Amino acid sequence: MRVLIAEDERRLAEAIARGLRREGMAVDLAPDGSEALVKSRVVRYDVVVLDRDLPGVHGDDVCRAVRGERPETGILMLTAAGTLQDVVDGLALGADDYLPKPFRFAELVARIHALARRATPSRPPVLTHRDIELDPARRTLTRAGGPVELARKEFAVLEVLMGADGATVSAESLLERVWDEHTDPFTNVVRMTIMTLRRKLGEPLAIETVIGVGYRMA
Amino acid sequence: MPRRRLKRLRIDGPSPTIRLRLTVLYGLVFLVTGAVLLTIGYLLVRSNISAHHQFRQNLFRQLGYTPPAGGAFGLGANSAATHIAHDVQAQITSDALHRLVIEYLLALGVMTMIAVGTGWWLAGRALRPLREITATARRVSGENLGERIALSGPADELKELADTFDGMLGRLDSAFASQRHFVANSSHELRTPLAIMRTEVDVTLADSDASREELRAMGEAVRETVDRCERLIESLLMLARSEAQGGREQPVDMASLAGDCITDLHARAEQAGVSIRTELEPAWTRGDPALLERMIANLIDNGIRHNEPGGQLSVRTERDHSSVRLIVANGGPVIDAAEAQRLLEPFRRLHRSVEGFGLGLSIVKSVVDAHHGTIEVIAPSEGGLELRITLSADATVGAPLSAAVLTQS
Repeated sequence: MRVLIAEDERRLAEAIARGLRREGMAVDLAPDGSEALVKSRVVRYDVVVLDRDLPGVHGDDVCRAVRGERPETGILMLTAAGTLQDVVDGLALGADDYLPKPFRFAELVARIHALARRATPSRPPVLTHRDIELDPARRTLTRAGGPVELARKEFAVLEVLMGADGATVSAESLLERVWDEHTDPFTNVVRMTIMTLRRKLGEPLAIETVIGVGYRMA
Repeated sequence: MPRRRLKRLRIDGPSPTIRLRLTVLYGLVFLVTGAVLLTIGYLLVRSNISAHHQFRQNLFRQLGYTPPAGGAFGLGANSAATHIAHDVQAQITSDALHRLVIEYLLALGVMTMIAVGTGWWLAGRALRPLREITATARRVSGENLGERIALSGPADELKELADTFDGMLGRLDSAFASQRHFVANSSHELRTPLAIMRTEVDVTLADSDASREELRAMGEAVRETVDRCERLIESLLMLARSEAQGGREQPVDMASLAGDCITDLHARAEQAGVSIRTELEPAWTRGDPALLERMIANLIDNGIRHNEPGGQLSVRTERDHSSVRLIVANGGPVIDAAEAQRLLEPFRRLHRSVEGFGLGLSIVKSVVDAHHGTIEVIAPSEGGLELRITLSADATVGAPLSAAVLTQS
């Protein structure tokens, strides 16, 4: 899952990013409104965590722009102004959710998961494919009832593939959804991760390569 | 009937009492005036009837005609007929006058009722704008100060009242708006560090095998954030204190305070590469020394912080017979004149990235206001900012005590 954090308070943004990365999300940071706009145009984020009081371009304008250009992206507004009117205004601007500061980190994570699920319609909370069961919120994976230990990126790649519902997902798309902006676009990290995933998932082969296109669940 | 009146009273609110009073007064005045007028009329009629009688007798007398004793009927003066004729005449006169009284009273009654009705209607009409004002005042509340009466009509007393009321609402509105702005800003500034600490702690503790270094880093982040909170609370308290200035007033020399502040902030200025020039002549004023010192410290701190490396900071004090002036001017980037004026508002910063909360100059303004002084913000075209503060001079301290307050090393 790819998340953009648009927050001018550097310490807060970094702490959130650290926590979300540990949850297996790919996180980019934007310290002001104009950078948030540029990044959200380049990358298809699943969720944008948006501070309302951003310097440069105001958070409200960022919210409107993202809502207009990328209707599938979930917007979670984060703000220190927590009155009812602020909440109503924020949601009226097109935000999907609103969390006043200070917030509990676990709640932020849960809301981001909920938003991402909402972004891909009819996606169940637990993904299943044949005998593989993946629970994104609890971060657990079982094959034929037995637990499988996965690294964060492996889990995230499998989540994207299973969420695609049998469709083929390109390596570029996987790179965009699972890795953040600091990853070299010419890296073979996707290939390596798929290889490890296949090994960990065992027989029969769970992920197949569609030559010249990408990967899909077998 | 009483039910209808009650209903009316409730609908019209407080105005019926004054409306009723006006109507009663109007009715009474009409009744008394009418009664007096009719009484005069009645008396005139009565006297005219007898005057008419005397006039005829006088006329006869002047013409040398003596009417036969006993009246016009040629009867004997003492005859029974004469008496009857007199009685009949008196009876007719008295009957006519009596009827006149009754008719007058009837007319007075009817006219008074019409007058009361008209008075009620007129009073209601005259008081209608007042009811409008009352209704608006009732609708207006802390959240809804945008409403205005905007009474149309001639420029009379009621229009003046409504306009005055509108003006007051306008002032209240802006006062409430700036208060809301202040509360929103302070809550933002207080909640942000809380959010940072909360997130730091949550994220670090959620990792069950966090290393020693990670825990240390969290502790340091929290400590840094607590420091920031402390500074903010300190500034907010100082702002509140200067607004509710205590009665502590004593002679204070601004030059000597400025000297102390520069001594304290000298190292900071050197670090920032800012050179300080001073021209301090004794400038005695009356006020709270702690607040005035904070004001000067904030000005100098501001001048250092928003300066450019190698820039200048000039601190001057001046005096004339009635006032003392403190002028702090710093170099730096060019600031838009309108933007410069707004720097006195709380939480107003030129750049969000600069350290600080934007409260320094608000505290300065608040201290100046508390001492009934004036502050001028000048944005010179060559860049930087100049702040001129004028306070009234202390009359009790006369001649300059010492020429040089500060010797710069």
